Amino acid sequence: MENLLQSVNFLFFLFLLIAMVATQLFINGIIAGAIYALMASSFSLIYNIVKFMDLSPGALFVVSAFSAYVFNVLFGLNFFLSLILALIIVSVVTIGINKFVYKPLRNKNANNFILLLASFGVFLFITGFILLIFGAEVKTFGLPIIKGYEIFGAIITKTQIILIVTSLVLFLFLQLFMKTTRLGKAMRALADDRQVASALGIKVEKTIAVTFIISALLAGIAGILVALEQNLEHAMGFSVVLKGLTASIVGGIGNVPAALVGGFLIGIIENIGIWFLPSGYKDAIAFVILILFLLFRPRGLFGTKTREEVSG
Amino acid sequence: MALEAYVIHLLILVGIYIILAISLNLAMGFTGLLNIGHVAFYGIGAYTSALLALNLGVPFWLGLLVGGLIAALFGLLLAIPTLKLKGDYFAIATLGFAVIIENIFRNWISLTGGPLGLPGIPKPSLFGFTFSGFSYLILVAFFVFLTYIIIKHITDAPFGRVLKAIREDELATSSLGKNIVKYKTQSLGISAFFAGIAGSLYAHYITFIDPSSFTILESILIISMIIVGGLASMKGAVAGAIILVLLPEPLRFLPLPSFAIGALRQMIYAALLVILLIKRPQGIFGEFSLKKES
Amino acid sequence: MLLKIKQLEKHFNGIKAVRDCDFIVDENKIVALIGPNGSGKTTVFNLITGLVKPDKGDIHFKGEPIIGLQPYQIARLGISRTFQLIRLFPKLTAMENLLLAKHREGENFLSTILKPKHIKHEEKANRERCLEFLELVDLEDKSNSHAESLSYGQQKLLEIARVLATESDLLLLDEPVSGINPIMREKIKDILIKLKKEGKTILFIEHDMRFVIDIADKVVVMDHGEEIAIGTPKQIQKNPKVLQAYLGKKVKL
Repeated sequence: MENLLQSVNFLFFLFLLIAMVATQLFINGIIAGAIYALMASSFSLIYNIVKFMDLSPGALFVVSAFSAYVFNVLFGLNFFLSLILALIIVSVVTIGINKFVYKPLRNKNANNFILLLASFGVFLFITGFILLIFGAEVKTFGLPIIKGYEIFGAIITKTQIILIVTSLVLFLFLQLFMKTTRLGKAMRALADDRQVASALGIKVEKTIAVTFIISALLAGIAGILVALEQNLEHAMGFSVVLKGLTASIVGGIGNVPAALVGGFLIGIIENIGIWFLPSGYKDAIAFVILILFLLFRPRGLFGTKTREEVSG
Repeated sequence: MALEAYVIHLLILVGIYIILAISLNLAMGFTGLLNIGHVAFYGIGAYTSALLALNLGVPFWLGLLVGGLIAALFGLLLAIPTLKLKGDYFAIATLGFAVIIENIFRNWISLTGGPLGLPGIPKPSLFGFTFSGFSYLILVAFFVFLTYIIIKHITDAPFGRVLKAIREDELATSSLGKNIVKYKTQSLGISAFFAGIAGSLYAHYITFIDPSSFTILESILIISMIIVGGLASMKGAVAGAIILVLLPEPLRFLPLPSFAIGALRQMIYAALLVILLIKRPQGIFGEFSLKKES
Repeated sequence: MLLKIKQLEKHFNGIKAVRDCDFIVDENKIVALIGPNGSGKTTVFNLITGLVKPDKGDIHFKGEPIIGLQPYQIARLGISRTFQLIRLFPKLTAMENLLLAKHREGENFLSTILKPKHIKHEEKANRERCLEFLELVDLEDKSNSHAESLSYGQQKLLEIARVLATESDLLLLDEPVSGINPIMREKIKDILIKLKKEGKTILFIEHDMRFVIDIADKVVVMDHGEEIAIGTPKQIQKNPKVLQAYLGKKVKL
């Protein structure tokens, strides 16, 4: 709780400052930030529990968006039903990835780099598959364009508001889940010290599986939210997962609550950055931030001291 | 006729990728540097050489050399801040570097032409003779040969031995009086140099370059080549490049739209990488695979 | 004096791993560093070799302060070490492990490109020299075997051969005879005595008291990070503080 309060405090004043200066950019930043926060949480959850950087949330992001598209637009199903179905598919896919790729590698004691590479492979395979099935033309949910609301001279649409609210609500749910439920506590225990957790009777494999599913759901919801606003195309997950990774590291890679801070920070800085630079540099801005943090503060804003910083 | 041209085209690509694979192998396989951003050096070499030729009329031979040197310079620049990062953190930093470079290719429109790229890159010429088709293949083969013997010489030499030691155990290596940072930096710089050369060869062959040839996916492809062939194996890098360039070619003959062929290519490469990592991480000729850090 | 340690202090996360540590190692002597597990002995080695920076204190080697230098710089000044958990290069051959011991000009990149013949020449000479070290530990027939294929005892010997091959003035040996059979133990003992005769200085950590008493000129005893006694092996054996540290109770003499 303390960490969370710290984070919220920090964010609040930062936001106030920026909001006063550039409202539309700020709003855009919050919108992007909400997505990055979800992806960062997704990424952090996995890193926390199995200690490797997994890019598959990026693929799940895309799978979810396209699944919802198929159900809602192609089959004409009700939106919420499409959402549920898409999330079920995403869960199944992540279970498959774990069973056929990650678990065998973990059993062979593969190091972090191999797992990172494997997750790249998974990402490329899945997005390639999506490209194969759906083709290269962008798809869209074709929602009618509604006039947005005006706040302090900036425009924000209903969908975007839903996006931000959903992100925050999910995040809160995640925090509550981690703090209060047995499974959540098991996840945290496992993240802290696997040997001890296992000795205390926590079912390791089951907890890991659940973590991956929750992570997948977060990425999946992010995917659908984005798809409502923007076009769908097979490579849409790449930049988003890398920014989720960046946000994770900026917040503090061991620290899931801090992923929220990281996400919104990246979103805002990115959008403020394109005030000065051409908008195509958005990705580069995020990665410059990533590299700066890796060099000067690898533990992120709120993380615990990483192995980088502990003197040998 | 068309068949002959096609085969030559493939072999030229194989040659370029052999250079890329061997150069990455020096940094990754021999020195243990987990560089996911190798493609950035490839692109820097390509753009440098192309721009010099297009804007300043610099002849290919000089452009190639400068392309390699500029790429090497970026290698050194990348090395200095990032070498203190460990394992996967270093990998992520190199990934970030490659994305930033690709962004620059895509957005510095006045210099690089942005997404539209640089067309009309002149082919190399020597005393009035223009290299094209089969003669270009000979040119590429020459550089492949040069790259191979230079890097083999480096890795067989005491210098190479230090690189391998660094890969095995950095701590022990530094306690024997070796300046780890210096060796890693040089390894990365040399690796980048040859990648830059490959880039230049690519640019003056296709005569058109754009940012889409220099994405992270290319890096993953090159990494796959050395994993297939076996890390730290010169023969392996060659074998890996040949296999991975040729493997998806049969797809070209299927009656499918181009995006589908591209998609299948991507899926084949990805699947091969994952399967290899699980089943045979040491590749064909490798003696070892990346192990858990001690 | 070759090595001087003064008021050395190091904490990790609030725990004082080493504090109030003072001792001297004179040239051409064999000094043993002993103490119960966790008394900070390996940390002292790490501090001397620059792997870890002390919070307080001084270390002087050949009269010059060495705190703040990088490990590789300290190695080049003439200090080499072995490790408690053997740190050989597993995929390299025994010979290659030894060839890496001494810092050589041939390892330089520019030399590799510009002076290949010269390097080849040097390599040959270096190989012959390293073969001598391998012969010293009876491992010459394993010259081309990968270090990881050797038995534990052979690896231990190889690590010792490697530290010998550095031809350093001061050798820090971390438990050189732990887990070694008696025959090898005697062999190592002979090698160390021979080294001392040749002008080398040795500081070693050991738990094997027999071994310590046999060859040490001086013994430094540590407990809970502090150096509690210094003296000859005979003196140390009678020192009540030492006995208390090992046996954990006050001993009346």
